[in-house]
Amino acid sequence: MNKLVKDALVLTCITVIAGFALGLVYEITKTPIAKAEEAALQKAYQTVFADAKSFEALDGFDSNAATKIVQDAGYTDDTIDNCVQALDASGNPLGYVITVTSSAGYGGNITFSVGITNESVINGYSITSISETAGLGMKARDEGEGTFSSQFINRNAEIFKVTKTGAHDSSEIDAISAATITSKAVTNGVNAGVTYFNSLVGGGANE
Amino acid sequence: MNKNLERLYNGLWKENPTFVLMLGMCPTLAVTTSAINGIGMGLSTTVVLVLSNMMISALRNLIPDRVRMPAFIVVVASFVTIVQFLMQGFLPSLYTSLGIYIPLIVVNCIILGRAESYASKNPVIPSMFDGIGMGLGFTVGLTLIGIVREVLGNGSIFDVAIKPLDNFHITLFGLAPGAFIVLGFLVALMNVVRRKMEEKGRPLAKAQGCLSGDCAGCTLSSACTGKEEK
Repeated sequence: MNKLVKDALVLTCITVIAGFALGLVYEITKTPIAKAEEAALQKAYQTVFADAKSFEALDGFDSNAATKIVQDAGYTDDTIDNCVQALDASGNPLGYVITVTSSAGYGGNITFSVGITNESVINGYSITSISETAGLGMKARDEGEGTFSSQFINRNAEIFKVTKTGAHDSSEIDAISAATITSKAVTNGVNAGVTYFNSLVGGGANE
Repeated sequence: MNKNLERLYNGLWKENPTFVLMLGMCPTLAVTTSAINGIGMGLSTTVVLVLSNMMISALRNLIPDRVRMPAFIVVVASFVTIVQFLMQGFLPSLYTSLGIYIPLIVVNCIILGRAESYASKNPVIPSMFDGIGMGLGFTVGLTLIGIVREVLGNGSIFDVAIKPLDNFHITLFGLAPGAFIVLGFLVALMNVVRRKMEEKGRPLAKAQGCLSGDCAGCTLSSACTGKEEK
């Protein structure tokens, strides 16, 4: 009996010490982690809105309400996480950066930011979190000439459709070869962003 | 050869966790889609393995035998979480590329295996070298499997396309079935090597992982099954 109590006490001590150590490290790293995440987000914003000098949170933005708008429009796999306004040097609004999470990826959630100007032109997207198959779906992250992501740059904001037979008209997007699920997830995510953007400029959820 | 160097050699070659002990097959299957992933997972495991080996070795006289399993798991899980927090806060770029592997380290049986079979019975410094050796051995194993799968599955090596192979790659090898196929060939090959070495009278260390057929090869077998070791 004594032995049992001793064993339990030692185990409790180890667990409590480990718990304290974790709490301590958490407190120390909380601010740097928040800063690092903020920096990553700012970088994604800057990628999709190179002209903007600063980004400002949208007044009265509510993630749940925004998500409901796109869910009602049929994009049930997508949530709108955040939306910020891109401002130029003198503080005039240039457009919006909308952060979308799609749960329709092959390897789980894909989170990315889409930049759309007030003239309804898409500036492309930048992925902040993705875990697709290397060499297939991961290509959605590649940037530059001829990549999947470059298809969205300078396109008019409309509802896009993925095609496997070569894009012919302005609303078609070429799928990543052998990664149709990823292609559809990202494209529908962009569509959800466009839908929310339309509701913004159409004077729906926000004045 | 001094004892510490012997531990390094042991982990890298004689008892290589991936090829000889067949430990940690779960992360091996999951992350070896490319060579760079193998290196990333291997090195993060090494860091946790070194820290947990040292801590468990330092506490080896304090932890009662009967509760050693939960004590080891608490230590390992705490280190994994601490490493994750530190990386996320201070090395965010490294975290973006390795982040998904870090929680996987907790379930890596190499760490618990080494804690049980080496660190809990030996002093701190040799345990540290055991961790470095085993960790690097795991890294080498994962990287080699990653290279095979990346070359066959994506026609590239360390993300650099090999011409003209990149037009003729077999996508299957980048996916889960490819992992099992490569692992199957690997186990077959190791069984041949094992038999050859036994004939020569220099048997390899016994496989400890689940791939030995039952849990008999594992030093933790008695803890899981209640059966005494033979």
